[in-house]
Amino acid sequence: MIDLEQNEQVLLTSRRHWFTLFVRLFPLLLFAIVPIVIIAALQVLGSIAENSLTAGGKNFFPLSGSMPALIIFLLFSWLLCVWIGAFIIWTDYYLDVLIVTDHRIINVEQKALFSREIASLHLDKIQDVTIDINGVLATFLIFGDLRIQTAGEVEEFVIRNVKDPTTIKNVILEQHEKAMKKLRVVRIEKNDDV
Amino acid sequence: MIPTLPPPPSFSITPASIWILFAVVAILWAVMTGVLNYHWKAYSIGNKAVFMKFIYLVGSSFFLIVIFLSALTFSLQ
Repeated sequence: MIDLEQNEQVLLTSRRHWFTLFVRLFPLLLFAIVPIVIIAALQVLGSIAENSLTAGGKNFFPLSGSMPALIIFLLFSWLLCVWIGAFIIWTDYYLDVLIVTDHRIINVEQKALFSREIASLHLDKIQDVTIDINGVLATFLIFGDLRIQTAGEVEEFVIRNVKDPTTIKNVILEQHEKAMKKLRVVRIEKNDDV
Repeated sequence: MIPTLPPPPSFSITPASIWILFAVVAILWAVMTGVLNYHWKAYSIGNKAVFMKFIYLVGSSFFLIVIFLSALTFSLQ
């Protein structure tokens, strides 16, 4: 959970685009399918060998006796590991989040299962916001990188593959304007007091 | 005289080795479920994690039941 400042309101919460999750999950889908294909192929080849040879033909992959139970045991153990792996990837995706509040921008990055980074940037520190939508898929699926130039210690704040970066940019710039207006009012009031 | 190679070591999967493997898989599942649940509970923003937790538990329970039953079938045969 993120601790918000007093009177701070969350305006927008965004995550990476689902396509980035799909790209990471796709190899796992192949890992899940490959053993099933291998077993099916071995069985087919075994039965072909049995039928094509003379009376001495032998199926080298007979599904009899305790063999089916052993194959199911190994296959489902493998599938359980793939299932756990898929949820580790989903958790990594889900816990990466960009939060825009009326005070600041918070970028939470779950780098690994036990490595987490939370960066926060106050709206008045923003100098420029640029978006980078690169490629055919990114253009059609509307996702890209969001770069925020700052006047702070960290010069550039990059959030990669975020969905609908244009809307996020507009919200950030709108809030930045409001923050700067507030800052100007405070400065004028201070000057008047002096 | 033609030298002969020693016979290859005989390898057989016993019910005991299957149950050891089952124990390893079950421990791995329990540890990873604990770790994932901790992350979903401690860091989750939004309520999608509750639904995904349900999907995870249903799926992994199904796999574990099938693994257990196949280990049992293998032991009894």
